[in-house]
Amino acid sequence: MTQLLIKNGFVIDPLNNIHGEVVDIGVKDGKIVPPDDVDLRYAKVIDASGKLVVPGGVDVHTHVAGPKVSVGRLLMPNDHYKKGGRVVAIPGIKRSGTGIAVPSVTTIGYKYARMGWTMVMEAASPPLYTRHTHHELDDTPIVDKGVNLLLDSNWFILEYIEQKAQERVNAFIAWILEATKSYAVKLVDPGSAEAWSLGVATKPLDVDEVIPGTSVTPKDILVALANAVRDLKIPHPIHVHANMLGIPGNYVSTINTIKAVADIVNQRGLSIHLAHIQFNAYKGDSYATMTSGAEELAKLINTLTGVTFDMGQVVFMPTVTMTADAPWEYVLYHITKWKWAAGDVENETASGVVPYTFRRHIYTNVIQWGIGLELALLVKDASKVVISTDHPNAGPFTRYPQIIAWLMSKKARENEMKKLNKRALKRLALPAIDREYTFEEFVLTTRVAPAKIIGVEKFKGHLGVGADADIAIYDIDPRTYDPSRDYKKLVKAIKYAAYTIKGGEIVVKDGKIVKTIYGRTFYTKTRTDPKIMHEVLEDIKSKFNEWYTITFNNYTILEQELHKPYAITPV
Amino acid sequence: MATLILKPKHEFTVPVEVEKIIPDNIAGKSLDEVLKIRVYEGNRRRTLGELFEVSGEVAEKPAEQEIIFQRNTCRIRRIGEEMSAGKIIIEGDAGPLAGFKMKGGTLIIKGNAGPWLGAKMKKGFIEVFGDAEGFVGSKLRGEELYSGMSGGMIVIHGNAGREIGAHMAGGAILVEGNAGILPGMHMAKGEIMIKGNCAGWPGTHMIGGKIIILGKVESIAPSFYFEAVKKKAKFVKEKIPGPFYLFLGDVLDNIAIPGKLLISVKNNPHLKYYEQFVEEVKDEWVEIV
Amino acid sequence: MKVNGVEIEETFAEAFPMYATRVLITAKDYKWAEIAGLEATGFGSSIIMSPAESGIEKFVPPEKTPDKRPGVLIQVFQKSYPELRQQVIARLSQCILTAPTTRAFDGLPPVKRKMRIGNVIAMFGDGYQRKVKMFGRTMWVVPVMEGEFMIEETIAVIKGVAGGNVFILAENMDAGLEAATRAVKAIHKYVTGAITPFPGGIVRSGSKPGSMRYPKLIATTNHKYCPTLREVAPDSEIPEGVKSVYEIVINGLTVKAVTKAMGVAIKAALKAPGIVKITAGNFGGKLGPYKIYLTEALKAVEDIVF
Repeated sequence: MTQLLIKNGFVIDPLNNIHGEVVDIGVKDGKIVPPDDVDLRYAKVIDASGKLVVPGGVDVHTHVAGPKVSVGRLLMPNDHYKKGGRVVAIPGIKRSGTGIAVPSVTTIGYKYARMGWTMVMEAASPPLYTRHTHHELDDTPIVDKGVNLLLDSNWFILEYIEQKAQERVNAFIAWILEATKSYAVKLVDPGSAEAWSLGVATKPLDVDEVIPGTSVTPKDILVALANAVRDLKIPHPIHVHANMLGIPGNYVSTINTIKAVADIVNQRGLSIHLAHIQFNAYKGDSYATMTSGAEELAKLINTLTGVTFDMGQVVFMPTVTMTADAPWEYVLYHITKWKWAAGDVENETASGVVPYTFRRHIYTNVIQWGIGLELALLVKDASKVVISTDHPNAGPFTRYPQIIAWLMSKKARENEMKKLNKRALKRLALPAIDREYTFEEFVLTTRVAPAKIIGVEKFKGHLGVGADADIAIYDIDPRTYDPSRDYKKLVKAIKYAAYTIKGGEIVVKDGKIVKTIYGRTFYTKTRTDPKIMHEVLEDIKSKFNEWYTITFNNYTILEQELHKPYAITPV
Repeated sequence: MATLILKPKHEFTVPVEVEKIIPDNIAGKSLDEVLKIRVYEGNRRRTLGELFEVSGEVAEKPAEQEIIFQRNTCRIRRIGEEMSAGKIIIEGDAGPLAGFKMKGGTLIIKGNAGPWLGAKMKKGFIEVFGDAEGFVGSKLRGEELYSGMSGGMIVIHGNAGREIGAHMAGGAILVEGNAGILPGMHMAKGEIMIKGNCAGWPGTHMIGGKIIILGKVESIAPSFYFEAVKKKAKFVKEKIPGPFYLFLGDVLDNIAIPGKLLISVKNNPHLKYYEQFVEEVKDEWVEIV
Repeated sequence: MKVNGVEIEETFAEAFPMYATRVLITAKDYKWAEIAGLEATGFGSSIIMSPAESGIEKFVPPEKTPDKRPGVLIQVFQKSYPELRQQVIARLSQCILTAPTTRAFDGLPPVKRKMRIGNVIAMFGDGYQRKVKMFGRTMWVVPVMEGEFMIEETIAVIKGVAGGNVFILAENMDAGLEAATRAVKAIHKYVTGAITPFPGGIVRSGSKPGSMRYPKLIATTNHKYCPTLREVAPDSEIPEGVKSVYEIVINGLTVKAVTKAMGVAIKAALKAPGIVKITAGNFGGKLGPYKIYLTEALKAVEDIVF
């Protein structure tokens, strides 16, 4: 296999206590090795002098595969013939594709790699359709991937929670994660999707409201699933899209969500990951008077060690919102009055897809833009923050360089604010915030924090010996370059990485794809009490024919159906 | 007027995209530069010189430039995209999206035209001597409402396909032959005249504009209301002798500002039923109940 | 032409077709019929901004109504058929269905073109409504808290005539108002098939289409007939001695009804003291197909003696 030696690079690797030093890095057999182990006769030497060498980026929350992404593509043909959204095939090197807001499956991998990102987590996949998700992920080139499984509205889990049978919940989750080859537990607006698709709930539910048709509240679901994740030692804490998303005044619901599970801490000290928190930090009682609840949330998160979040940062461009929060999409459709696709996944969840355009002159959109940045800048510890746009909900992931520039340069924020709705800016705290992220914080929030949250920090998110050789090299030198002054250079450097190395292979050189390889798919294999597992399986099998349109045996995804499965077994 | 003649060097088996071969791009360049303009053949990048035999001369200004496509041209798409001046003549058939987003000048197709002829056109003139396929002067799939053709004129001497003038917001389309179903769907402004027959449902979802049909119409959408019998109609300043049935609609989309549907009385005896609604009110009816 | 020393200008009122309908509302007594009729024709002045033009035509004695109860005839005008239908549904369901003891009937039974209104409003019955043949009509019976509400299934729609008008130019405001009031009263008394769709039948702010200064406005004040602009506006048509002008707008089911109503209005106005001139508004004959000359209108009502 290829051997590489990256020489003279300026390395930032917080997990190994390298805070900006010139260090050589050796790569052999897809792993990082001491530089002396590289046989220079066969090795390719990359001269990285004057360049920034960091671990490959990790995206903790992005919608890149599965049925709703496909529906998003179908719903937006106009996204696929826009200029600039076209990837032209180069035979033997890369495949073709189109799309800006919802790119083609292959394009997603190339665009991530071009920015130096090497691992992505599909944010929400309904268990029944996870086979589809895996098929698309298998076709996503270069990056490593994993699937977050939607479990909050599942009939089995709701039934076990009603019976107050925590061991059964645990056993069911252990089974379904392995059966669908998924990685983590995702909750979307806990409980309300299924109640909504049955027609018994007419609006998004709050944390303490009883779900119509059952005797449980979203809070019960949160607690039960958090307990299950702790008991089963699943590496990723519960991944929560909190209740009342998108509705003004919902920061209270978010605080209640955090408080409900804050003391259920997993083996690595984490209790909850809040997805796209920007959508859940609204204050006020209507869209006309909406303001930012970022300060309150940041204050709470600063006091808790086990709470992490991703930004869900808004960028101003046409996007497609897609979520399993079907009631919210129904509300959004009536705001936009353009297109809407809704889906019902048997007895598991529901979903909705609505195109939306974030505009600079709209008050609400500017407040949303400000909230994401306020949260990232007000939370003191950058390793609790992950950069995300909740692709493609608040914007495509290709705009991460822009968001990084906004975080690292006050001038970049000020230049953007010149174009925005003035009335909204007056009500934001953002113009008064002076904090600028350092390069180390940039590495923390895009590499270290997501790797830690996902629970793969042993071999991702750092450049120590034994880690996966996922390396991004950017053409900037932090010793001489000040991002707060010339942020455009930073945007360009991150947009087109000088090198991206994935699994020891050079896949991107000077911002161009030079090789297509395929990454692994991570999934969790947990152990639980065999006696209870047997009981639960009997229960599932007895109800399966009645509840599902497919049989039990067809439901389970076998390991050989995936191209490169990689099981993670908690210890 | 300087003429540039393009002949394909071989029979194209995959679509060829020539959106850059417009007078605005060619005028003022040397012939060598013109040969290097990039053209896509399928998903491969080529230059004009690789695919076409180029002869003739290049003008100084776009308005004086004439481009002629000869021989087998039916796989060439996006001819004249965003052209704003000059003239393009296609001596054979044109592929899809000829005259897409055209801003001016003239496009003449001597054979048939593919679908989406003159889609999203803003200004200029297109003439087709053969037939045209569907979606003439419409918008592309998935785009916002009423973002189709917004100006200019399209004349088709043969027949036209379905959904011509969909989402049209201005300009005029004249079809001398027959037209397929749903002409003027989601139309907001502009005029369409079909001299032949129409396969059905003209003007569905229209919120403005005018459609004149001189031949037979199979059926009218039920969301149109009969208004009157008109003696004559007007199409781009030209008076068209009638009489016509005038329908207003589509009330499903907008009941306050309706579009107009003018349908020939002579060729549509099956619509005679509506004539009873234009009776004069007799004075004795008013007297008392 | 001069009558009783008042000049009647040799001009015409310009009227145009508009979709119209006539509904007969009956009730227990005249009081409730009038209340229901007033309510259903509320906010029905000019199509410029009102949802419809509407007004009460006249009262109908019990022996002439299908259910032998006192009734009132109302008319509603709109630009297009669908908008008219929507207005009639809104007005009948919100104003007649709710008013005590009322029933609604088609006011023009012989007309062939009908709007289906009754079955739509009857859905208020939430499944308990039923269709019956009664009073020689097809009626829907809707159970309501009071008892039962009845409405005819279909209501006629015709092309009516809108825009008939008379301008009364008076020496002062009181004289003008007195003449206009008399004219409206006479129309209600002597004419069938015409309404005066403005507050009390009288318009104090006649308008011209469009604007000279604000391109987006549909209508602005008729400056030619504003007495205070006599010296200011170059094209003022106010003769000397005129201090106030009132307009009476007349909509009707037929041209004959509108002509008659205009004649009656002129005749009644002439009886009042202090009138200087009577004229009518038009746009040079470009807008409407109907031209109603004031002299013809007077001729049409020669046989009516006040």
